[in-house]
Amino acid sequence: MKLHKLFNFKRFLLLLRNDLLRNYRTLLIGAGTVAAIYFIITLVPMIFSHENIDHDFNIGFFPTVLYICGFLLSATIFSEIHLSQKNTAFFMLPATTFEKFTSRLLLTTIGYVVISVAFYFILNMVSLFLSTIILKSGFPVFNPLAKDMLLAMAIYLISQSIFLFGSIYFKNHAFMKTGLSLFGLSIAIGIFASIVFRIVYYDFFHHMRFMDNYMASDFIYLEKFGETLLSIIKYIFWVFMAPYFWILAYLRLSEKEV
Amino acid sequence: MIELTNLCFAYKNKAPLFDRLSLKITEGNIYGLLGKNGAGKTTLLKIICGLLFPQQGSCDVLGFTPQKRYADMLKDIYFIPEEFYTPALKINEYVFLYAPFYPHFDPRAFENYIATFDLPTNEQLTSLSYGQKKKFLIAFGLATNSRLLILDEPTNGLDIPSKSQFRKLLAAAMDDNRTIIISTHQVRDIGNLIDPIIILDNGKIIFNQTTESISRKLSVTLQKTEPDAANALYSEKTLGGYVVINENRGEADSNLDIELLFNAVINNQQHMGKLFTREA
Repeated sequence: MKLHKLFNFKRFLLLLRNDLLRNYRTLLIGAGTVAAIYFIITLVPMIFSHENIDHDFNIGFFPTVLYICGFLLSATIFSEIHLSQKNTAFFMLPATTFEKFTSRLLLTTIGYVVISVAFYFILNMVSLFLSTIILKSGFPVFNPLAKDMLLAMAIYLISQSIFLFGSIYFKNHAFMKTGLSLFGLSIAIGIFASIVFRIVYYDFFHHMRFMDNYMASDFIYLEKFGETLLSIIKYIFWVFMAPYFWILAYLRLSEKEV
Repeated sequence: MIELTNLCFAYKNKAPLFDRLSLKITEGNIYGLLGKNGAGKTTLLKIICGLLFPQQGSCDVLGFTPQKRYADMLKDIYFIPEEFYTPALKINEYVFLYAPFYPHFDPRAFENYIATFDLPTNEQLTSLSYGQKKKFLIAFGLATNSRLLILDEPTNGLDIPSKSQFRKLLAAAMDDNRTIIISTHQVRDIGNLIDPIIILDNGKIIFNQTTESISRKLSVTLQKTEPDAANALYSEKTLGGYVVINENRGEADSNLDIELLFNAVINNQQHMGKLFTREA
């Protein structure tokens, strides 16, 4: 297939513009809610009990907001394909499925992160101004380039792929269903790992030889094994997980009928 | 323009709707797609648009396979379903956002259509009545200058003057490169517009003829006494007698009522089929 048939940059930009202009009210409502929560959490304690905000506040609060709002956005971004009438309008719009998918992928990944960082930075500056000038109190400055923040953004960019897939896969309540599926999958993997562990290390559990020398050496081996397993999981997470779910989501979207 | 060959389609966990259905649709015509409820009209239109995928057979629309949903195909198809969605936008906002996807969109023609339909331009589309929304979509669809315009029950919800305006606009918008498919039960609303007529029944094309061929082969008479069942293709009791469809045996061409034709085809499929395949 020729690339120009699959992707046209002008159409891609038109799709981005349409999505932003059609949904700006929802985005503003979401941003307003986040701002209200932010000011309540930060400024109210300062005003009423003259407490200073913890200097690590942003390290905890920013990723929480980034994940919750981002996962919600990703899980609902394709909700119209499950709604009769809206799905006809979506699929009949003259753009390829690839363009429709990638435009929304860009919006929910880099677009969302950039907007969130800019918005949070503004919130932080307002709080900083109010606290230092009016309340004469210190306030932690948000540094989006700090290592913790960059890591949070990177984790979001990878993990949102699951919710994006969920928005195409699940007909209703995609956010909750994706979350519950992840929870169920974690439990299943946990049980499976425990069973494997129990079978492989049957001898330890069976004879309860906690203190003997063999066991100590085996635990060193086990630690190494754990480290290797962890690095494999990390590798899968950072390299394969996002492309895997994005490809799966795109294929699912291509096969979707009304 | 559209060629369906041995198309098979079934909804999940249901009996097949189309079994080796074949159909050819050419440019420059306004096709009337008729059929009883559940005959498969909307499904057929959705397959043509790439909204539903056939399980077997081939479907070629403007040289594309619809299920691949290429933008080059979609920019030349405008589909107005019976139940449709309009976003919470004003008319000019809608045009600003959606018209750029249609390279042949004609803004002046669109303004003309909007004025003809007497649509308010300052209100949100969501606040318009069903009929007004439909008129807006018809106006937009015509202005896209797409090669294939597919309308499912277009006159439903339209008031009496709008139906007449709709017919005029559609006739004016037709050219040799364009094809319009109208699926409807309201045959009287579009009676003089559609040609050829396709009748779908139980997932099969049981009739596909031009009006010229129909009027050449069938004649309609009004008689006071009940016609002989062996000679008449179809008859209906009306006020003061019977309206009868017979085989046209050299008489002048007759102007056939589509509703009557539809009933004749549905009720006398075998004879009608034979009559129209004899010459073809």
